[in-house]
This record gives sequence, C-alpha cells and structure tokens, in this order.
Amino acid sequence: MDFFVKFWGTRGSIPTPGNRTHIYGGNTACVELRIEGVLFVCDAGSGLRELGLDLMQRKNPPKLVHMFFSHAHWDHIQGFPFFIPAYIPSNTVVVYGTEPGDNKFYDLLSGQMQSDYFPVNFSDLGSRIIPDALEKDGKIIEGVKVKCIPQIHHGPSYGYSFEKDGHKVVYATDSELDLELGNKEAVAADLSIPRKVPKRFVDFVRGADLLIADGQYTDHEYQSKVTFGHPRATTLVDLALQAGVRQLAVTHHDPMQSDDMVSSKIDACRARVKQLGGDLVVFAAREGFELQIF
Amino acid sequence: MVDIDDWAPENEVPTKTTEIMPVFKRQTESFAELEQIHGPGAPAVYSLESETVVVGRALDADIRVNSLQVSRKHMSLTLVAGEHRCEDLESRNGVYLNGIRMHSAILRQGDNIQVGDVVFIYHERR
Repeated sequence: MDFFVKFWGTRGSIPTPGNRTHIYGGNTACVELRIEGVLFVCDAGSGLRELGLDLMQRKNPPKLVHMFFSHAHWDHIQGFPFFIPAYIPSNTVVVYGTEPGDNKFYDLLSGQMQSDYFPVNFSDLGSRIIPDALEKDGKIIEGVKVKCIPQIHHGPSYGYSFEKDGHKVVYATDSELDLELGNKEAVAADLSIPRKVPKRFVDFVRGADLLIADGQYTDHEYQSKVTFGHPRATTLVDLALQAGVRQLAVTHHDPMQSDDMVSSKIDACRARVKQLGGDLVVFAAREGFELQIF
Repeated sequence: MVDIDDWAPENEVPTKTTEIMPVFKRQTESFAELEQIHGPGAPAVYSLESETVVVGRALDADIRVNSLQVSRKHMSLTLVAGEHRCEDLESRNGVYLNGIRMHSAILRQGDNIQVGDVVFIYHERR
C-alpha cells in the first residue's frame, strides 16, 4: 500500500529560519499524508507554502486536498495564503471541522485573508474551497478512516488519526499531556517514574505505526512552561509505549531550540525508552523527511 | 536480509563508463561529498558533481557498491535548488537516515546514510 508521510514544517510558535535550525527546519506546522494517492494535509503553518510549491512540480499533482487543523493559532494557519494550489481554479480544497456543522477553521482561514491582513481575499482564491466536517465517530474520506480527539491546549486543539488497511498514523500536536497525567505531582517530584497518561489518549493512539506528536519542551524547559499548552517531549515516550506505537516523531520544536538542542531532546527520549523498556523508535520530525508506512 | 533475486553476476558487461570513482582525497572544489565509512569499498570519498547520482550494486550505478545487501539501484541523490535530496529507489533493504528508515529526505552536513551493510556520511558543499 502507498502510505507516505512527509514533514514540511516542524517548528512551533513562529517560523525560525537560520543556521541554528538548518537540520530540523524553521517552518511551522505542516505534515503531508499521501494514502493511495489521496492527499491529506495536517495544519497550514509556513511549511504549507513549501508543500504547495512541491505539489506544483509533481507530475500528476492532486486536484483535491483534504485539510485538517489542530487549531487555528497563527503557526498553524499562516501558510494558507501562500498555498499556491489554492489559487488554481481546477483544484478543490476541503477544510474540515471536528464535528457536524463545525465551520470554525474554514471561517478563521477566511478571516486571516481580509484586506487588513493580506492583499488577496479568501473569496478571490481561484480554487473551490469548501467546508466539511467529521461525524461524531469520524469519517471515511476516500477510503481512509479519519477520527479526531480534543486535546489540552488553549483553545482547545485536536489530534487526528488516519487509518487504512490496518495501518494507522496519528497527528497530535499542541497538546499539554502533562497537565492531565494521573500522577502529575509525583512526576514533577521524580521524573523517572512512569507517567499515567489518560486512557482516552492511549486508546486514541493505540497501535499506531507512527505517532507525530508535540514534544516542544525538554524536562528542564517545561518547569517554567507549565500551562503554556505543550508537553515534556519525554512524556510522549510514556504515551507511545503504553499505546503500543511503533515509531514516534517528536515535532513542534521550540523556536529557542537549536539543532543541537533538538538532538539532545531526542536523546533524552531515547534514554527514557531504554529506562522504561520497549522497542519504540523515536526521532525528531525534520523538514523534508519522508517515511513510507509499511 | 540479503538481496539475492536481483544479484548481478560479476561478469556482467558494463554498459556505462561514467561510474564515479572514489577520490580518497578531499577536493578543493565545492562539491558535496559522500564519504563511505563502512562496507565493501570503504573507506572512500565520492564527489557529487552530477545532478543525479545513483548508488547501487548495478554495474551502471554511478556509485557502485559490491554488496549483496545493496539493491542494483538502491538510492538516488538529486540536486534540488542547491540541496541534495536522497530517495530510496524501492530497494529491498531500505535506506536509513541517522538510523531511521526513510523514503526521502533533504540531506544535511554529517548525515549518516545506511544502505544494507554500507554506511555513508554526507558532507555539504563547502
């Protein structure tokens, strides 16, 4: 089965170009999933611009784009006005809400393209842009089962799972898991103990071939960032191990983190895998990196 | 896993004479390089001067690696807007970037690329 995942934006909060972020990238959140030729896009951060340019170069670029949003903070929508395929009249962009009748993301995308913010109005985009929404139990879109889960963030935010023929990828960014740990006080006192991740998250992620998740902070950084809306990266290891995930891609890197700091953050996650025991593969999401899901 | 099915016999007649030979000594020109640090043929340094370079076991591969764990055309390195894009050419044993199996990636200084029992380090143009 052709099931590909590609990272176009892995930075959190604000685009962070420059030598410090040369390896992992400075563009904000955007992930492409191609499942049997069907294109799904998670978040429209500045990485979406790069994806759009790349789509225009492909031999048979898809005419239909299914777009999902974790939430509508700037770093997750700012790439949309620069998404070239949205200007092509023969294209269709479907913007999904998280429940029936939910047009929130569609409305917010159009809001950021009012003349005070941007020279091109949403209504002047050449493509057909239409709102749609997931049902209560998700939705099957061109043979792919898509489900969502509300997360802990200012807003809130939503995670999504994409399933096809027994393969599953979860995209779950901007979620402060640590705030909902069943033993968060004990964890704060002793980071080495196993973290009690809420069952609803474990169930949602269970059995994923790949979990792409917000791991913005190191353990040390998190001490001064509680309630900022992002977790300790190491907490993702507990979630992934408890849910039987095969591979964990840590994303939404903090804009203050250099490449070396991101690498150190991943080393800490790998050390936690060793400490807790398991076969989990952990890596830092990196711009331009593409995996095939087997 | 050993890639037996598409094994090219050693007496196969070469059809191409443009194989990139290892330079062993760093060149002063500013081309990116692929340094082989492990596997048959190591140590070696290959200068990536062509727009596309194919690594594999085939006699007409640009960088030829004589290993049963390497597919005939295992991976390609293509120069795109000044950066090298590495792509798995549907190889049997996959391409691992810094230990993670990948389909494609933009390469960065110091990346470790493993194909079968062969390990390369990528050096950006200086």
